Amino acid sequence: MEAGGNSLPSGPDGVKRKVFYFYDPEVGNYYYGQGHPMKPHRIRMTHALLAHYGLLQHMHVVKPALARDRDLCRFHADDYVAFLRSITPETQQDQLRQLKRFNVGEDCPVFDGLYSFCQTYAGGSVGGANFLKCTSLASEIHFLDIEFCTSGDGVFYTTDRVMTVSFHKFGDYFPGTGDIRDVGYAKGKYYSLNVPLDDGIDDESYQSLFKPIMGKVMEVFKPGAVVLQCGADSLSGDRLGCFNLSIKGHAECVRYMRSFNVPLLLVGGGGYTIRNVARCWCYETGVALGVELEDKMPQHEYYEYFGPDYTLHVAPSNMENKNSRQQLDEIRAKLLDYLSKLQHAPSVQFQERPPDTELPEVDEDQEDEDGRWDHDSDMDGVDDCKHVSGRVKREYLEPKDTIGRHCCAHFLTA
Amino acid sequence: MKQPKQPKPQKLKKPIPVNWLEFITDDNLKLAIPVGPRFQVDVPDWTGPPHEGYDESINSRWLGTQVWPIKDARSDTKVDLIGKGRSNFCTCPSPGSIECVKRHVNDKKVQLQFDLGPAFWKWRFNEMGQEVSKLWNLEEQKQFDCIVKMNPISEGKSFLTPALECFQTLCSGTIVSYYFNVYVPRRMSIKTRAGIKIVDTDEDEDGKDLKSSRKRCRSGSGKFVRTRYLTGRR
Repeated sequence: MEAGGNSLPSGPDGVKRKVFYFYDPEVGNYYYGQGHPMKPHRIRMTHALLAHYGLLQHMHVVKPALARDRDLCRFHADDYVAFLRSITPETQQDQLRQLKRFNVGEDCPVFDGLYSFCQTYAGGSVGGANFLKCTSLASEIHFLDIEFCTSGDGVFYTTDRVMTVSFHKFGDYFPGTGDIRDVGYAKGKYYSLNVPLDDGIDDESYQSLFKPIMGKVMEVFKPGAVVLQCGADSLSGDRLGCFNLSIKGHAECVRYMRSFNVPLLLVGGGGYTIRNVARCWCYETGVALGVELEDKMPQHEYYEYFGPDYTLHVAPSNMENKNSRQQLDEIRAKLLDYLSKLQHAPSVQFQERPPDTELPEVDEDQEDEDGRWDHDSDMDGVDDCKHVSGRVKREYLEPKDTIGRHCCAHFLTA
Repeated sequence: MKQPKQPKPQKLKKPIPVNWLEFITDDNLKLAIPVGPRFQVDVPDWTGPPHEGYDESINSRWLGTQVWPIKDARSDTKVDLIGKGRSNFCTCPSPGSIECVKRHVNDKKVQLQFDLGPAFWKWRFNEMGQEVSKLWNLEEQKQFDCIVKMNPISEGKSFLTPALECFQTLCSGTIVSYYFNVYVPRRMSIKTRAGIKIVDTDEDEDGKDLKSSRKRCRSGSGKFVRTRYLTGRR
């Protein structure tokens, strides 16, 4: 196993770690519609693989609390949440204006149980984030948010408290952002990094960017916690993605970030060839645990999805890697240059986390709490973002307007 | 009477940049990043770590409900079996056949039920895989197969609505569960043994090469053109 880029004193990389895993057994039955590439069933397939490889039994497995209206409204506009809660496949024809406004209907379709699906996976993410908060090393928390294959949507663009690094296919691709020059704005300048990649990037090329860049980010930013979005659409053979990573290559990023011994939250993301998603996330859970898995897959409930070889690993294809050595060198140099402009994190003492950090007790039984919806707001339509010569398009709102995210329907990447 | 078509004014095309760095820094491709309270999260100032008792009820809610480990679980979970794959040895008359797989899957399921105890049911392993077919009689299974075949994706159709009409006592969750747990793996097991190398989980992509299955803009053969997923449109 290759040594990690750990710049901090800590134990060897092979040390097993305490891993908490959030899973809701309802999640597999949500259905985006026939032909839609996003299939929550992939999460159930992953779960079965984890069980039969004996990994579940070595983790703390938790059913997440559902995010309530008020929880979602801490991060999203009230009317957006109200819309998600009320829209159904039967009523959507009467809500065409709202569908367009909130970018719902195609990539992010309306389906049965949409809102409870959002509550489920948001609950998982927030639950995981709460664990991070409890176990973070630093006295001041800086979060590092890494995206594997799609660019972020700029929600941390103006803060220096969160550093966002996004590796993605650049060009005519969801969500259409991710220019290398988008480095953040105002206080957040140089706290966003975008790594634009071309089709066919392979393991070696990807690591030639990921490790030097992330190594430097960890060195200058010194986050107390890291969130790594492990979108599996960067894998070879993905139905929508156009990269050529192997599962081991993908997992090498998880391994590398884990080697810094900083509390790490792994979340899902894209991934549209579902047998490969299950393979990848199962293998990466093994990496999180410090366990290597045998390639011959154990027989299990979804075994027939993995023919004809029924193996965990699949060889990458022979597709052309359009990222030349020169391109990669240029991108790396530019990004390392941006990083060199970053102020070193204010003197935050980094403490080694004691091996038995006290984690909060988890209740065996929890009552469901019903969130009450008691707020309604009426906002104007969202302006379309046009091509402009500047890097940002500022918007000023009255103080009464709710704070929330850009209305990008992000539940596509559950 | 039809008017003669007016020739469209010629648009001058900008030369396509050949260098990647030129391409990724091309202003014409640049979307403005929206900045403002509707687009960025308000990250509050750090006021110190959470003190004892504060927000405890809120925090504990987010810890969710623990399913594993369970209090009376055997602490001798077989450490040597972690990460283990399938055995090389099989005593089935026809190793690798559909029947062989069914037998081993069933054996593994029984073992898992023993190992997990009540967690097996909480995680609904009894609602995974071919087990689900036990809730459907043969007639219903045949009807479902028909419905899926008669509503292929390539024609922009969906099995779900006709299935709901046919099986009126069933909800969409049950039908979707049957589709992913029984129908798809069954179809894949047949096609795999028929020698098809790449069997996709969607109906009309069997046997096609990787490149076409990755097409984001699928043009139908006539009346139906699918929308593109995950394009750069906003």
